[in-house]
Amino acid sequence: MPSGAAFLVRRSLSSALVILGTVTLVFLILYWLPGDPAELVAGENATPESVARIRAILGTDRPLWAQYLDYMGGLAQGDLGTSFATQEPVGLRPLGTVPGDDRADAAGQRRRHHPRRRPRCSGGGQSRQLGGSCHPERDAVPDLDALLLARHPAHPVLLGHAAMAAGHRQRQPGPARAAGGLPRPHRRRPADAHGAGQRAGRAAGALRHHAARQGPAGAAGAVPARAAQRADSGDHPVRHHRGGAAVRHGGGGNTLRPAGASAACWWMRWA
Amino acid sequence: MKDIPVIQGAVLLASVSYVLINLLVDLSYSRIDPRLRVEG
Repeated sequence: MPSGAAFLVRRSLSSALVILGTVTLVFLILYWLPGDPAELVAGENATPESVARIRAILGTDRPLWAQYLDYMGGLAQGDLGTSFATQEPVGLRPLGTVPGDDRADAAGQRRRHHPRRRPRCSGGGQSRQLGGSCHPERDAVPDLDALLLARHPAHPVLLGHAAMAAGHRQRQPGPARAAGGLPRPHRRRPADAHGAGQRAGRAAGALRHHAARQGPAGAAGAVPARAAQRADSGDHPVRHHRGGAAVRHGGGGNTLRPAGASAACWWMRWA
Repeated sequence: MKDIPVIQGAVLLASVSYVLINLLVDLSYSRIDPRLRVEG
């Protein structure tokens, strides 16, 4: 029936318009939101240099239009971006995510709420996961350099750190590098223009695999973390609500704030 | 965690499912009630 087909076409076009508008609006809102995601990823005691480096890795140092075009281009290819916290592709993760479920989230809570009760690194600073490190400002740097190297081979921030990143990659034994070949659901980017992004994703996969393989060290660090999480799980909503209110009323413009200050907004934790 | 890509993904998922469900509802109107007719 031709009229039904016309109806479908019209509805599909208007639906696409609605989704496009929603995505654009959300992108703009999140872009103009106060607070620097790089500072949150970097942790509380990060040096300005490492924050700048993380900003370059996340791509949040670029102008608005570049970020928008990059995001929309990825979206057109089914790539929803890479999570700042876990370095995983986003995919359908929001569907199955339970707040406080994954390890990075638990680590983030530990960092924010228990700066004094932070468990010691039993592996001598070998925990190299982005969010799970005991000293993110020191440990995360080589990882981030490797990621940055993969994404922007000639990035100015990277000069002087490339050697460190290369050394880090060489320290990783064979299986970590072989983990780059793991099947990952969001590898739909073609190899030409987005090869760099693919390499970055693979590096992130290798790093995560590397962190997961460190059984003894990781397990020893995880037990106190879980205990700390359980200890303060009772008053979470209150804390987050208070934190959110503080962010709304106290925070004015785009000022740089300490990492813990803006991280307490409840919906930020949910996502 | 201000994890922007994850938030964007969640919003995109919500809006896509909203639009799709509305489309399905609109399509099923004429199936459920044969008196209705699609008008160009």
